[in-house]
Amino acid sequence: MAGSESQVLSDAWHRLRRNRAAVVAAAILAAITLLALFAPALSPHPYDHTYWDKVSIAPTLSDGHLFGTDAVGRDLFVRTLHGGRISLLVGIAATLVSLLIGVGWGATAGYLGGRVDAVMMRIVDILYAIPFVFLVILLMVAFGRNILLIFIAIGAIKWLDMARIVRGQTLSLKRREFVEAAQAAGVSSFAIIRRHIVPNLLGVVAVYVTLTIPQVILIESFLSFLGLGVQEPSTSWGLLVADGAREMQNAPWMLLFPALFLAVTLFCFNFIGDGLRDALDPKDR
Amino acid sequence: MAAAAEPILVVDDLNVSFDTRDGELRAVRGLDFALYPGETLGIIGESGAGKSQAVLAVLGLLPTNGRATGSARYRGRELIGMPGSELNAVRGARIALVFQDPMSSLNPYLRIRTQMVEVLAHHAGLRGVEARRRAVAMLEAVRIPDAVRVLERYPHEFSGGMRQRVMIAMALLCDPDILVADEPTTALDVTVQAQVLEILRDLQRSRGIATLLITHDLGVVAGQCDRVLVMYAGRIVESGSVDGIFNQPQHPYTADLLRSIPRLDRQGRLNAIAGDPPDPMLAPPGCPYAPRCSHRFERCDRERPLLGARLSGAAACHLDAAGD
Amino acid sequence: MLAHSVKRVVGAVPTLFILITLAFFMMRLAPGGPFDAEKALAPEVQANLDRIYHLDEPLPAQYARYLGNVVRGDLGPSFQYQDWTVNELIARGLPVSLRLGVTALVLALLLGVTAGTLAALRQNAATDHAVMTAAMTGISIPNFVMAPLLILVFAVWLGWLPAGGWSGGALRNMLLPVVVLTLPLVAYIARLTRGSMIEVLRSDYIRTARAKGLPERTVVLRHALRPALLPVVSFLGPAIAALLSGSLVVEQIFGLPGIGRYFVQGALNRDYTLVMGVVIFYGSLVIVMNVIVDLVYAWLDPKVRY
Repeated sequence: MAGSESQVLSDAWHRLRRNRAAVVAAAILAAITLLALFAPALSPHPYDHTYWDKVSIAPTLSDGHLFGTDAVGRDLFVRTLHGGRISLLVGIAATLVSLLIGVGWGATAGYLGGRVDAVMMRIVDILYAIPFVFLVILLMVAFGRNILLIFIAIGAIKWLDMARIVRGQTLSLKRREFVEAAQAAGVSSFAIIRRHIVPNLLGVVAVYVTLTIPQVILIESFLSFLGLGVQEPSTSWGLLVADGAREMQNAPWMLLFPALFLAVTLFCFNFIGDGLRDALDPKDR
Repeated sequence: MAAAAEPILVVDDLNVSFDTRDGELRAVRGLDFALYPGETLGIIGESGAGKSQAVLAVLGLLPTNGRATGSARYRGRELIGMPGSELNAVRGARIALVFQDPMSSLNPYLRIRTQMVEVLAHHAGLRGVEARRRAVAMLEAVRIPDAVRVLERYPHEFSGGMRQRVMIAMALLCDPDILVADEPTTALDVTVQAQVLEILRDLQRSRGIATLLITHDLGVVAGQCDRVLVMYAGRIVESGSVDGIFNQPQHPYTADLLRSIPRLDRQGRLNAIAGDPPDPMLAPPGCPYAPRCSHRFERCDRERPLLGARLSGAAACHLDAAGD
Repeated sequence: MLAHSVKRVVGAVPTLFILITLAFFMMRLAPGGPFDAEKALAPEVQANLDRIYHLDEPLPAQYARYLGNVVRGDLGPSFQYQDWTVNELIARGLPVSLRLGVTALVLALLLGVTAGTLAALRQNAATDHAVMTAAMTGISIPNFVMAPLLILVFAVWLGWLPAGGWSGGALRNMLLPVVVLTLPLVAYIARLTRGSMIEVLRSDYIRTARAKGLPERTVVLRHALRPALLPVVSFLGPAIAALLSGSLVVEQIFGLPGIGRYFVQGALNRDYTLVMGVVIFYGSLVIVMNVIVDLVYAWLDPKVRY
């Protein structure tokens, strides 16, 4: 049993590596992530330092202002990568929050079954119909805009899909013999969920995670763009795009660089997610 | 029976292949046969023998990764490679098809009326009351009770047997010359099978439609057909009259098939043929049946036997020919 | 069909209830309370708030009262726009938002279904790859990036179209906002349609339709389109939600006087009553549209209908 599961995963891995779009996307994404992690520390310019003598200068090689500066003279290269760090951090953190809730909820419902399952999934159905983006905005208005709240809030609304997927998978997995064997051996329900069911969900979860991260980055950027997310002097891609949009007539680079980074990142995540899905379900193509 | 007449459909060196992830899959390899007016010709073989793919290819119904070469002439007109618009005048009108699974072969989203009337509208220019009357008459011909009401229903409201009758009625709407029935009863219960076969036989006799009956069930062949082609691994391995094939099978595969029929008078387990058909991706040099054949000898692995004349038909086996 | 409809409509009630409840308690449980505004309120607004929320009453009583008001369709006075009720502000912005949203949705359906169907019919050919690459681009470029880029190109650099403003809904003014709202939806709908159309075209009943000698056009339009559209119909609920959140960006960036603009301004100015009112209004709209979509689905699929 375990052998065939890992066989499936290794076949999928092989197919994924043959998918050129996904491989290129992964390489670009890795480069962006590394830049976002290390470049701000390596650059001579702090992300929040204002050069009053160099307001809105175009991209240049001198002084290392590769992407130019913004309307108050801050280095745009460092700010773009700092913004990327925040956007990626929110994307990953919120996805992890949603993953924990979703996997826990779905695996529990699917494993226990019966009335508990019915009630738990009914709750998911009801919550599903609520347009949560508006509630998140409401939350930002009521509780103030801070980054921790943003990703907890987004994570708390994004778990519904995961719960559904995990429940379906759990239902089909729990009928398999190795789970029955564990039950017969007297292993507790919780241990079965943790040791047998969760590892088997890895494939689906991987697809879900790569497709959820860009959605979360999108929500965060959307909020920040509207001025309801990350606050100055910190920044994120959404906020930088908003600033850039205001200045685009005089300083189009302020719009173009953050927009490019955001779009390319979303692109890469979507390509990898699609590639993963095709790799795990070869019938689709 | 009607050997003197001109054949209505002549298939000549038909090849069907599919492009797959793992390479080219050859489903049909050099198929030849002729269908005469009014006769019922059975094509029998295990699943994967290429029976269905052959008729789908003749009517241009292969999936997009499929390719057909060779020739299939209906009343002298070449069907292989015929442009879609011309082919559409033939299929459904002159050559009609009944598929295996009545549960999935009718469109679940359209009323029976829509699905029947569109055939008449397209091929005969019939619409409105006249088309409805023809549809009702045809439903009654396949013994569907309350045909007027049935027209307004959706397929999912009927049983498999009823749906297959609707399929047959739909196929016969335009008085075709040829009816191709692809495993028409395989998906049905045994009692329903008998009813549907009887309807098929009656209609075919009363209207004189030439029928190509594809099946893996020798019992169906015995009850319905005049002549039989036995297919194995994309080729014909034996052909002949029903009597000849049942009483004196010339090819070991045919004989094995006959032995595998479950019979009430013979106790014991089913004699399914041991082993599997050859991989359609490969083409080893010898007889494709050799690995499963109980009469296999050295020549079988070396050389593929060609179809040669026998008592009442033809067979592709070294066994008897070897003595010559 | 009737029983099904009743069930769906009744099923929406708890969702609406949870939405209103969440909105209410989020506001009331905010640190310091939402109405301890940093700026002094006009006395009549303060009086209105006290009347609407009965701030001196215990929380459950306030909640019950608010719920009652919402059920009667009264969303209370605006916090910022004095002399205006939230209802009036919504009514004022609705024609603009509705016109944009409906235009975008209709266009997205027409273009998306057409592109997706064409791609499915020419699976893996050049048309298919072009449509799918364009769709991926449409999905990956967020509306708030697309909007300033389009303004930069078509308004600032080329000067062909205005950079913003409504002008009573003139075509020139509608064009860019509608494009921004439509493109991501076209992309999603095209992908959905392509996927389901490929699946449907492989089905036995499509082979039957072809075997009947029907022309390709009839096969696709009469036999394949309806089942292929079912996933698209299911997507309409999320699509409407996406349109509403997209309208926030579009109305803000193009300066259009719709509900979304009031909402964003309200959120930035901490106009609690307005934000809460719009959240409930939009939320209810999405929930009601979901029910309608569900009924349309049932109507399209005879197996659900009976």
